[in-house]
Amino acid sequence: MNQKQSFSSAYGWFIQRITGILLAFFLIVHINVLHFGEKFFIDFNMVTQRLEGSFLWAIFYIIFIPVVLFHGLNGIWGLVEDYRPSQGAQKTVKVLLWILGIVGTFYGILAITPFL
Amino acid sequence: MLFHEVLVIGGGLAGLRAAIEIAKMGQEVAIISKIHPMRSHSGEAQGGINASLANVEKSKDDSKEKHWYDTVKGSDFLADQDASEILTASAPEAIFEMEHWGCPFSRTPEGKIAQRPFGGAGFPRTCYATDKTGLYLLQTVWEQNIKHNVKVYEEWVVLGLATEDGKCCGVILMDLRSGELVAMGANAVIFATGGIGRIYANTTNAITNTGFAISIPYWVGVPLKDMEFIQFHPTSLARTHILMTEGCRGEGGYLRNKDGERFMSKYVSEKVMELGPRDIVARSIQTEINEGRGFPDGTVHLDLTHLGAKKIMERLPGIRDICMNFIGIDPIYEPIPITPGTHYIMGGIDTDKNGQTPMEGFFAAGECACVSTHGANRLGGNSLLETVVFGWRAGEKAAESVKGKDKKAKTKALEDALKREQDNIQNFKKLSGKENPYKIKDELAEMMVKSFGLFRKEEDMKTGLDEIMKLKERFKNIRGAFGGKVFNLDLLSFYEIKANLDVAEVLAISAIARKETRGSHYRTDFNKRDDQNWLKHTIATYSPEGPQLSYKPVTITKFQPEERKY
Amino acid sequence: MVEFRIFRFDPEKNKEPEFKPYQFEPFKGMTILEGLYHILENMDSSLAFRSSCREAVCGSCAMHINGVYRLACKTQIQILKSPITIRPLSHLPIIKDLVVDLNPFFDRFREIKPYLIPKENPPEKEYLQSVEDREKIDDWLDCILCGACYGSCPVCAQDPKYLGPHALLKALRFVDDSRDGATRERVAFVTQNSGIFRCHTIFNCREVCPKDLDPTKAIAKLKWKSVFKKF
Repeated sequence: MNQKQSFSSAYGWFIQRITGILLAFFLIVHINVLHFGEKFFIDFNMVTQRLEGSFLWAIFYIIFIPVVLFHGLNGIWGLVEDYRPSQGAQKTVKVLLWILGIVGTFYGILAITPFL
Repeated sequence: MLFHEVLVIGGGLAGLRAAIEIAKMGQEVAIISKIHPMRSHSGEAQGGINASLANVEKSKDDSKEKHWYDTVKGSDFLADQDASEILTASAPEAIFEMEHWGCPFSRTPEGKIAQRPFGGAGFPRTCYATDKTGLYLLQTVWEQNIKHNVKVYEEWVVLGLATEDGKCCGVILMDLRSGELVAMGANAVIFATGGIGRIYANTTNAITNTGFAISIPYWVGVPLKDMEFIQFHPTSLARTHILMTEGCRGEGGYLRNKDGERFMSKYVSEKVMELGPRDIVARSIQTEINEGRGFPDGTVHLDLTHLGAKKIMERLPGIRDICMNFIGIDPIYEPIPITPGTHYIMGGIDTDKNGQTPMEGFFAAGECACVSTHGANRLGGNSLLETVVFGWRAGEKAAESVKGKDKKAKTKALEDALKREQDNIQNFKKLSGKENPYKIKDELAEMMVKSFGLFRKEEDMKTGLDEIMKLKERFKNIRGAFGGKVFNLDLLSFYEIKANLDVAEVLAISAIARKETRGSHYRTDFNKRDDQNWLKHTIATYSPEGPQLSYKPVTITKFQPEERKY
Repeated sequence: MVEFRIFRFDPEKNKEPEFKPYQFEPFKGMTILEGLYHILENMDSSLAFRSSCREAVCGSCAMHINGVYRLACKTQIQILKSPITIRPLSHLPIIKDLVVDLNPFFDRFREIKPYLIPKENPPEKEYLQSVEDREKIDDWLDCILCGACYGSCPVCAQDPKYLGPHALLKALRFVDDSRDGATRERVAFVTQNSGIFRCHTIFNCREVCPKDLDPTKAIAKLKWKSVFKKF
């Protein structure tokens, strides 16, 4: 037993549960409005109309984006860890996933801000 | 050549406890065990471990001296009283130590170690951890060995002792995994190999508890003491003879015959009832069965149904599991069919109160040793105590004895012994007779129950001894052992069966010679205790013609022998 | 008449393992272990297997019997369909026949420091522990280290460094013990790479445990403890 006391993976695991619960809500709403709305085929106009209609939709997506990105990317991280890559590989993957997450979140939110 | 300052043979409670003491004292130690330490038979002990802690209301007047007296009285005054005094006086310390190491004892409402009544004891004195005390103690002591980083040779079997000028200088081992024979030097060897129950067919002991380990020192001249005293546990499960702890009766269980009668009132006083000492209760049960008041399958019932589900689940969950798994009975609703079963051997390798045997450099502790704290009958809860107290003492003395000695193996003696074992194995593999050795083992075990069981008499025992001699002859005509090297169970069994026959012979001759009734040794033809002639220990020494008997006086320090009444 | 189909492998003779059939007449109430002894003593003296207590407390005889990891000593022959296929525990090197090398299993166990690290210096008598505190560890005590959970766990199969259900259960036994003072270190240790978060909550360990313990629950409890740190 080493003396290093790091609980980081515990937080990762915990946030994964929380985001999981949130996703259950977000995904139901999201899929419902997109695929089971008035028209079966969605287009750009439809989406922009809805976002312009209420700023609550913009806030919805601003929360949704980081939640889904964290959950997805952390899930990939879990898979990677199961295969026990070398320390170096782990670090590389971790950095890559973080970059992907941050860039994705930033870019996604950037696309929403005009509707606020 | 491999060398350790002290070698402990056997990874049960006594061996593990000894190893901790040696490691603590800074000597180099290794444990050799036929099976992984956690598989040891100590783990099957159920009821508890005795110490006069006076933790519960009913035991507040208890003291070390009363524990000492109960032990001596239980032994039918054959115990060496100085040894029993050590056992009972060290008990509280030994148990507090186990508790400090993490043993999860059950608790009283004040948070102290809980105690329950046991047979032959004046007060509730048996500290328990549900009905798995042995398992938890074994876990605890093994964990401490991990902490002290004690080297364990798992699945290495001792085949012989190496001696030089009458001193023990090492052991010959077989590594079961590779099948290789290895000589290992040591300045001191401690045997903590446990019981020999498997020479009886109706034993509660594990399959590994054969007569082999105890006969290794016997073959090189270390005497065996009091071998005629075999304890029969009153309550073992029908057919399988799995132990049903004395705690069942300690918690209030009843014994009933086929008429539903609590028959113990006929044999002991109303106050004691089911909680008499083991020898008396076992004989009472057998008498009921013999006189036709048992059930058709030759059992009587251990009735727990009136205790209620809560108490059984809380105090005796392991018993319930065993009953459900092995005979499909739930003791909450149905009584348990039981018979007496061979449980423990009071005798063993002759040692003094420090675990030192007559051979220099050779120690013994635990059930395989006969320090003679139990005399002619052991009280329930005293055997776990013996393992920790005398394991501790033997470890301490062995560690002291090797201080300042050369850390070098005595090559010549070890090589001779190694050669001897190699020849033995070759001989076993070369045999080409017709007999199946396992048949001999089974016949011996059946015969032992019949001739050297709860009730003994001269002619039965003589027939039994003849039978042993015949089996020995037949053993010379057995088939050859399996020739493979890796994990050769067959070869090991050959050694064990040969040893079983020799140990049975010692037991038989000692029992025939003792013409009295004392404790577990009950003779229908001499049914009185005879202090005039027989207040002495039987000593059996090996000779090629058979065991030679001599006698040794009993140490009496405080309690004069008196009639034993319960 | 019952047929045992036993996994046989002798490193001295065989290159590949094989299944050998043995037929015999069982008596009523005969267990698998008694069957194995019957074969060793009367039919094939080369058979190797482990056993000791024959009453389900020593943990020697865990093996894979008709598709489930069980203790041979407490499994009745009559409840199983013949032929009965017997294989050794999985994910562990085979020494011979039904005997596997348990060293990896015990090495993982040693890593968690499986001994009490006391909170305070021992008192003159026993540490006081309330009945409620004692009850907290009651569910985690009975492990006999048979290896059935380890053999059935797919994570153990894939990751030999994974601490495994047996070690994690033991870790919780000390974490929950009111006398233990190293709780924080213990939880931090099992939070590491090959610890509790490799558990995928598959429940195999719980299903096969011959002592009816629940390592899955123990691991889940450790996960919550690692997050909220209420020790």
